[in-house]
Order: sequence, then structure tokens, then C-alpha cells
Amino acid sequence: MDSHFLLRRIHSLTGIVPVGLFLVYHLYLQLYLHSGAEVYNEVINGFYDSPLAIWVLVIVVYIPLFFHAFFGIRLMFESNVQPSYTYFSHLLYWLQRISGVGVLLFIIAHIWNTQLGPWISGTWGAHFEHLSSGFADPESGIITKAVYLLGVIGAVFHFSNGLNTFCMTWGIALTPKSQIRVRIISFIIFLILAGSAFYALSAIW
Amino acid sequence: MSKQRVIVIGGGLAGLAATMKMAELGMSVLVVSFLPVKRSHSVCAQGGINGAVNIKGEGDSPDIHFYDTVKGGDFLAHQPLCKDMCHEAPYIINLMDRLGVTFNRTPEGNLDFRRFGGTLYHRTAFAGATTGQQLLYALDEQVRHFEVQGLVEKMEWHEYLGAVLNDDGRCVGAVIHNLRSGEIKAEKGDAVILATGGPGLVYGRSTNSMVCTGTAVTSAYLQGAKYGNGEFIQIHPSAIPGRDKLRLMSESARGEGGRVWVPRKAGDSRKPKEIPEKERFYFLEERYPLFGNLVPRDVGAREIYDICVNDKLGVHGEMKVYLDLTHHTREFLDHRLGGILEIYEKFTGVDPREEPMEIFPAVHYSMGGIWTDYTRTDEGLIDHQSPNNQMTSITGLYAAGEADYQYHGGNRLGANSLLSCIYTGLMMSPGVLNYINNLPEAAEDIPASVYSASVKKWQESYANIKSMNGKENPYALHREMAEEMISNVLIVRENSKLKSTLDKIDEFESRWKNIKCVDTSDWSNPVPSFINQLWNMIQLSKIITKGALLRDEFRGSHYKPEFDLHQPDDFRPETYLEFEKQKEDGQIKEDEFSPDHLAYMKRFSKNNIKWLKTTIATYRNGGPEISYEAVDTSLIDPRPRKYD
Amino acid sequence: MPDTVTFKIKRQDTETSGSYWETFIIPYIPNSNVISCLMDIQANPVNAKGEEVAPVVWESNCLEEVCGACTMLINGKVHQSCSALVDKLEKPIRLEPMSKFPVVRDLTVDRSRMFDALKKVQAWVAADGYHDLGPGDRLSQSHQETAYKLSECMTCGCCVEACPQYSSDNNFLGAAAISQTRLFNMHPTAKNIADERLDTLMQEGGIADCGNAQNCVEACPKSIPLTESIAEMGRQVSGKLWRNIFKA
Repeated sequence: MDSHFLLRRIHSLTGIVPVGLFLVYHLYLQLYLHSGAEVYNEVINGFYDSPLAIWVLVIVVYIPLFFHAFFGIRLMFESNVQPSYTYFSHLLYWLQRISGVGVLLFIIAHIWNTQLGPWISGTWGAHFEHLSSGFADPESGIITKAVYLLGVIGAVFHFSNGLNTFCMTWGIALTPKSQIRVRIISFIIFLILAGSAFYALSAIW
Repeated sequence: MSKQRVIVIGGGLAGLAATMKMAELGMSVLVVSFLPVKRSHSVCAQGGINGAVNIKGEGDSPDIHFYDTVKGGDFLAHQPLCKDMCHEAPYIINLMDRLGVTFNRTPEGNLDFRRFGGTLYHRTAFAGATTGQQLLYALDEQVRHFEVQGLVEKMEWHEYLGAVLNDDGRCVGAVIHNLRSGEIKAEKGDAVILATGGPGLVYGRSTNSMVCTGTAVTSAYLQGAKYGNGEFIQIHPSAIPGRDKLRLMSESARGEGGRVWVPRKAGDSRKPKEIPEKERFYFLEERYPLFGNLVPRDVGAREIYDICVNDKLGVHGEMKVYLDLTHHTREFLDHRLGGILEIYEKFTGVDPREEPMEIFPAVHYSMGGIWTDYTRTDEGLIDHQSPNNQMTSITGLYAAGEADYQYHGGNRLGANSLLSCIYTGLMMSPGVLNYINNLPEAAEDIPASVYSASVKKWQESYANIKSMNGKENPYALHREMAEEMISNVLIVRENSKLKSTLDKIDEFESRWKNIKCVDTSDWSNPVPSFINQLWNMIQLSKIITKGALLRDEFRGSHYKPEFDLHQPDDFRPETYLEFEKQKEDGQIKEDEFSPDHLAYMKRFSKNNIKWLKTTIATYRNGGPEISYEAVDTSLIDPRPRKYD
Repeated sequence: MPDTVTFKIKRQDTETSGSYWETFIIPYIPNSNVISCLMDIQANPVNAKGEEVAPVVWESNCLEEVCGACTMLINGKVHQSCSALVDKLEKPIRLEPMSKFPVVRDLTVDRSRMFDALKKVQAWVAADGYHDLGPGDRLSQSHQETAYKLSECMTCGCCVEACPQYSSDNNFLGAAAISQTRLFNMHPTAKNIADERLDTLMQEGGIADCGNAQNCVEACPKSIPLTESIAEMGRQVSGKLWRNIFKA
């Protein structure tokens, strides 16, 4: 066993735990958008009230997330483009990589937009208003909406398809039959997460 | 003495079995192969490997296996070797099992056995329908293990050109041609083993692989080694037609219940499934009620020829018959015959689980090969320590596997070739080591000048080939030669045609001199090699054809209708044993036999006295000189064959 | 019925020289496969421009898809050329050498890397000797069926040629070798050194270099369940990882 193997396994693991789980939790919190500005801000700010919040965020989310992202980009350079082989799994293989890059860009913009930006400009705390005004902006709103739509679909796809490959990498789904089962389950998870994300966003659309 | 080593030419079953056995005994081995050894022709063997393990409780024994083998070969095989081989067979199967061969299993987890041609017992162990491949892979793995340990060195992409002989005529190494760089150099070896397989390419399209040109053994023959039983070429009854090759449809298809038939009505244009049972002619089952579809291959091929050519009942009027497996379930077929049915489906586009296959006879195996020696014990077995075992008539040059000649007589039984290949490789190894241990000097200490002369000869020969600038394309010439062999030296042989073929071969030989070397580049150029191989194939076709012309009898695969002894239908072989016994006692009681039986037995006895001999071809004055040599038939009395 | 078949063949004279395309037009003959057409070119090596050229060099042996030698790219996809039937191929037919291995000449490549991988993963049964030690273990039919399928691998290279993770500048073992570790780790005696094989899989070039594109299993001419093998070995290395961390 060497670092080569270990880093790849950590990469695989961090995609699910904690990054993937955080994604699920994060999307769950967004459902509070339907409860209105007051409740939503209270829920979000409730998380940040803890003195450990910033540490939890850095250690549990940001470090694994950026390790996963940048190591994943490094791995991408190991891939060969082979357009002759038009199999479905091969398509998913490339979508996983492309969505990974897209989601990374989205997350950087998202962090700037919802965290660093408000923090620097001193408007931290009014999360709901910040989000909904961005969506409602007559000029840039449509772009924001499009970016969120793609970003959310990309993230949810990357996670659910990653769940599928995770099961193969770690030897959870062995036979072709069980691999198909896992693929179906991954697809259902994709639908549920994408559905709940869109439902959450519909509150401020 | 310096470190010694053995050179093994060829990485099929025989070569690798010898390699691993000698490496086990501590000897360094150099394996030379045309291709990566894992791609050797042994992978094409499908049906299985014989050994009387008697798993099915049928009372099978090595001695019955021995009897079936000798009878199948029409008594031309050397009996002590056959007996030893059959007695070693169960151990060889166990060994291969231990080495990881994925043999099919019984419900209890034992090795499963199926039936094959020429026997009434379940004696054939098998791994799906790619047994040869599986056996070869197991040996390949063992040899790779020794390679890692440093005992075995492999030279793949290299070709054997000839033996290096010292002043005493002893083989002290081999001239090797690097097929990539084109370099020709000598490798020192204290013994050289030719395990280079058969010569199917002499017939152009056969069931053999592209490397099966017989070049290495022909080279030994041209250097003075004797060649045995060249005319005995096995025609396999069932192959799939193809433009590049005739793909084998294993005998195991019949071993698992496949039935051979043709429509009773000539020119019946209906689809096979539309032809009702009673309008089908199961000619093998009708003519051979006891062995049915599992008659030996020489018998099967002749019957198909007879049905198609004489009775004109071939499918669509062609040289084809149906091989029908459609009465089995798909699960059964996939489990036991998957590999070969997939091949059939891939190449013909027809699913043999639903439609009967269309098959026809094709050149498959050479019972003959380079002459080799052996030392028998008093019990009629082989002294495994003897350095003579498998040695050709050139001291220090050995042969094993299909390249040799003694095991299968006039006709080989199915699933005996995998056995004989592994057996010869394993059996000969202690003797080869004994030979090496008693040499006066190691090859390593022999002066380079002994080798440089041979190398120079071959370098000049290849330079000459490369400079050939005549009119003939070597590949086209090969096709023509093969066509001639297929037409006249196949199942049914006639002296007039054999004679004209011999003349034709001489013509091909002079046309060879007018070849154009169509590629003169230095790097990875297969053309000069092929031109050299073609020369050797021409020489080999002379051995086959002249041997066939001179052997005026009908034995095994060598069928000359003119010399058929016409066995009476109601004749039993035991009668002949009684006849022979009476002859030995000094008095034949002629009135005890029916007149036609008696006349037949007299013909048979006379014919055996004249022809129950090994054909020996020796290279003299540019061609084979044919002589005959006794066969050791001391263990089972020769008698007429009968399969009905 | 067409009269001719056109072949566009990517040729290369030596290991280091550049490659070039050459077109051959040969008479159409029913029931041809790619090899029989290459043989026709050999017997009459004249290109489409009417120039006499050196015959195309390719590697082949068994011609019935059990030896693995004649693998090449046919219309961009990896396949054995013996079982590539002309009637089923899009014309003109493009032939190229496999792209993941060093080209030797024309369509011939050097696949030594695959055989070296078999050495690395110790794909053998370490036997005590070749003398009579009695029969091997009794094994169930289902065990045989699984093992037989894996053992049909002919090291042809289709799986790694189609794999987007396998390239000439990394040292990935590839699906074939990983599948062989599964075969030997399930053999009753070869599994004695199962852990050593897992150590190899847990190094650079080992199983972690698989990217789950699953082209291997689609490209395999013998339908070997390669992704199942990779998943199984993934499970075994996961167990080994656990043992390394918590039990070592």
C-alpha cells in the first residue's frame, strides 16, 4: 500500500463522507426557503451561532471538499479521450469528470456569493433576502438562476453517480446485477435530491 | 564444467511441459517461440484430455485406454510409449488440476469426464470447450513463475532456423532468427528440443494455426534427421468452412450427444428443421451401431466423404453434413460446449443451439513427425531416465508433441494429443538431463568457431532470399501448392494422382527459385522467413506425398480404395486372434473359419507383414528416400479394426 | 453485391518512424474476414495507386479468437481481426494498430506490458512439484463456472485498449491483470499468497487507477465479467486496508 492508493481511496471516500452527506444536509436546509425569510435566516444563523461553526465548516466541509475537487482534477489529467467507445458507462465516466469541474466553479461562485461576499460587505445574516434579491435582479437574475440550475443538477448528478462508482470501488456491489441495482438506486437518489433542490429554489424563483 | 542449459523450441503444451519439468529439476531453459507462448497453437484444442481416471465407475483403466489408442492408430503406434502414456494419464490430469486448470466438475466436486471418439468410456476431462487453451495457460503460468525466478529465459518473436552440430554431428545449439531486428545468431545449448507442433499449413487452410508450418522439423530432416510416418495426416470430420482457415468444431460436440445426418433425399432444399425425423439419414449411427457418432476420426471423415461424394447426399449438394445439437437445452450446451458454439455463431452468424451446424472434414493433425527414440522396460513401459527418450537421429536434438511420430500410429484418437504433448514434455525431461550430465563438455565451453559457421550459412541463406527478384509471389505460390495437396493427398488417395502431385511439387520447387521477395526491409519483415518456410513446406509435402504413394495399403487415415482389404460385414476381430494363435501353433484349422473370413484374414496377415511398419524418410539428393522400420507391437496383437 | 472492398490501413515501417495511411482495393469475396483480406493483400501487394508495396505486416495465429494475437483497431474500435467479418463492417474498412502499445510495424504492436503485469500479480499456482501428489481439491460446479470464465482471458488487450485510464505513460495494470488476481485469489492453493497480490494491487498502477468507465467489460471479446472482477478485488483491497489500519 502506498500513498498513490491511499490518496485515491481518500478521494473516493471524501466524495461520500463528508462532502456528499453535507450536500444532502445542505439541500435539506434549503427547504426552509418555503418557510419565509424569518425562519430561513433563523435556521441558517442558528448553525453559525455555535462558536465551533467555522471550524466544523472548515474541517468537515471545506478541506475534504477542496481535496476531493483538486485531486479529482489531477486525476482527470490521467484520462484518455476515446470517442470510439460510445457505451453508456463511458458517457457517465466523462459526465462525472465534466460535472466535477463545473460544480467546483459553481461552488466557488456560490461561496463568494453567499458567504464571503456578504461577510466582506457587512450584510451577513440576511441570507434569504440576499438570495432572493439575486434571483429577482432584472438584469443578472436570469444568469444567476441558470447558474444555480446547472450547478445544482451537476452537484446532484456528481454525487449520485459517484455513489454508484463508490459501490464498485469499495467492492460493495459485486455482480453486474447488483451494479445495475445500485445504478437504479443512484438514479432514484438523483431524482429525489434534484426534485427537492428545485422545490426549494421554487420558493424564490 | 560451465553452466549448462537446454533450448526448447516452441512454447505450446509439449515445449512448456518440458520447460517447467526441467526447470523444476534445476536446469536452465531457454524457450524460443515465434509468438508469445500464450498464443501457441495448443489453444485451439477444444474437447479435452484423455485419462482413465474412471470417475464414472465404468471399469475404465489405463490398459483399456492403451488398447483403444493402439486400435485407433491401426496398430502403427509404438506400444511401450502408448502404454506408458496411458498409465501416466490419470496423474497428468491430476497434476493439471492442481496447477489450476478449470476442469468441469461433477455435482460432488470431482473432475467431470465426457465421451470422445474411438472409445466407449467417459475418459475425457475437459474445461468447457477450450481445454487446450486452459491447459496451455496453466503451463504458461508455471513457466512465467520460473522466469521470474531466473531459471527460464524466453525469446519470443524468434524463429528456429537449424541445429548447430559439432564435428561429431552432435547438436550443441541452435541458430535463431530475431523476427524483429532480423538478426541471425547462435544460441548455445547442451540439448535442443523441437516442440514446434504440426505442419497443417502444407495444406494451406486447415484447422491449424498460422505458425504450424512444420518448418523446424523439416529443417532437422534437411540436416539429416529421420522423419517418420509422414503420410499419416489426420482429417477431422467436423470443421467450419472459412476463407482464411477451417475452424475446428470439436469432437466433443458429438461426445455430448451431437448427431451427424444428411437429408435422405439428394438435393433436398428444405431447411434442416423442416426435414422430419424419418427423412433424415443418421448415417454414422446406422452404419456403426456400437460407436455411432463417436467413431474414430479417420472412419468419420471417410464416411462423410462417402456420403457426399459417392452417394451425393451432402447438404445443398456440397461436401457438408449436419451436426445437430438442437435436442439439448441451451443451459446444457452453454455449460459444456459454450466456447465452440460461440465460435460457430461468430463466424457463421447461425446459432447452433437453434439450427443444426453445417460441417465438413478438414486437415487437422499429423500423426507422423520427426523420428524419435525411446528405451523400454521389461514390463513394456518406458525407462524415464533414459537419455534416448524422444531423441531424434541427431544426437542431442530432441522432439516432443505433435512434432514427433510414435504415439498415434495411423490415426490419432480425439483428446489424446493434449495428453501426448504434456506426457512427452514431462516424460523426456529426466532423460534429457541425464544426457546433459554425461556430456564431455558444456556447450558454453565449445569454441565460438563451431557456431559461427552455422550462423554464416544462415545469414547467407537469408541474404540470398532477400535478393530474390523473380516473378512469383511467395504467398500466391503457397496457395497453389496447398490446393494441389488438398486435391490429391487428402482422404482418398490414388497412386496416379499422388504421382502427378509429386511432379507438381517438383515444379513448385523450381518455381520457388523464381520467387520475388516482396519485402526487402530490415525491420520486422516476415517475408524472408515465409519464403524459407515455404521451401521447407515444399520439402515436407514431398515426404507426405511420396510416403503416401509408396504405401500401397489402407491403414488408419491413409486410405487407398485400391488396396482396401474389404473386411466382411460379419467379421469379428477375435476370429483373427484365434487364426493367429493357430498359425503360431503351426497349424491353421481352415475348416473352422468361413471361407470369406479365412481369405480376408490371409489378406490381412499378408498385408501386415508387408506394411505394419514405420515409414522413414531420409533426405538424400534433394528429396526423401523412403525406407521402412519395425514397430514395437509386442503388447497388443495387431488385429482388424471394427467399430460397429 | 459490391465488386471490391476498400481498406485504409495505418502503416508504420519501424518502431520510431512516422505512420502513414495506405489504401488497398481488393476484390470482394463473400464470407471474408479482415484476415482473409489481409492475406489477399499479401498475395498481391499493390496499393490503390497501383504501386507495388511491401505487404502489410500483422500478427495472427489461431484465427478463431482463442489466441488473442490478431487484435487491432477496426474502424476505430478494438477487435480481433479474425472474427471481424467484412460483410458486417462499415466500408471503407479502417485498420490501425492498437494505440496503447508501442507499434512494432504496421498493425503489429508489442504487448509485453500485459505479460509483465501477469508477473507482477503473481498469476500462477505455486506448486510443490510436478510429481504425483494426487488430485487437486474438490470444487463446486459454480466455482468452476466462475473460474473458467476468468481463465478464458487471452491477454489480447481489448480491455486496456478501450480503457480511458490505461495509457502508454502510466503503469496501470489494467482490467485483464486485475481479473487474473481474482482468479488466483479464489484458487484453493494459489490463494495462499492472496495478500501479496493485494499488496501489488494497492500500489501505483494498481486497482486504484481504475476510473469505472467500464469500457473493458464492453470490449472484452470473451465476455469476461471484468467489472465484477474489479469490484471483487476492490472489496478484497478494502478488507486489506481495514486490516492494515486496525490489525497490523
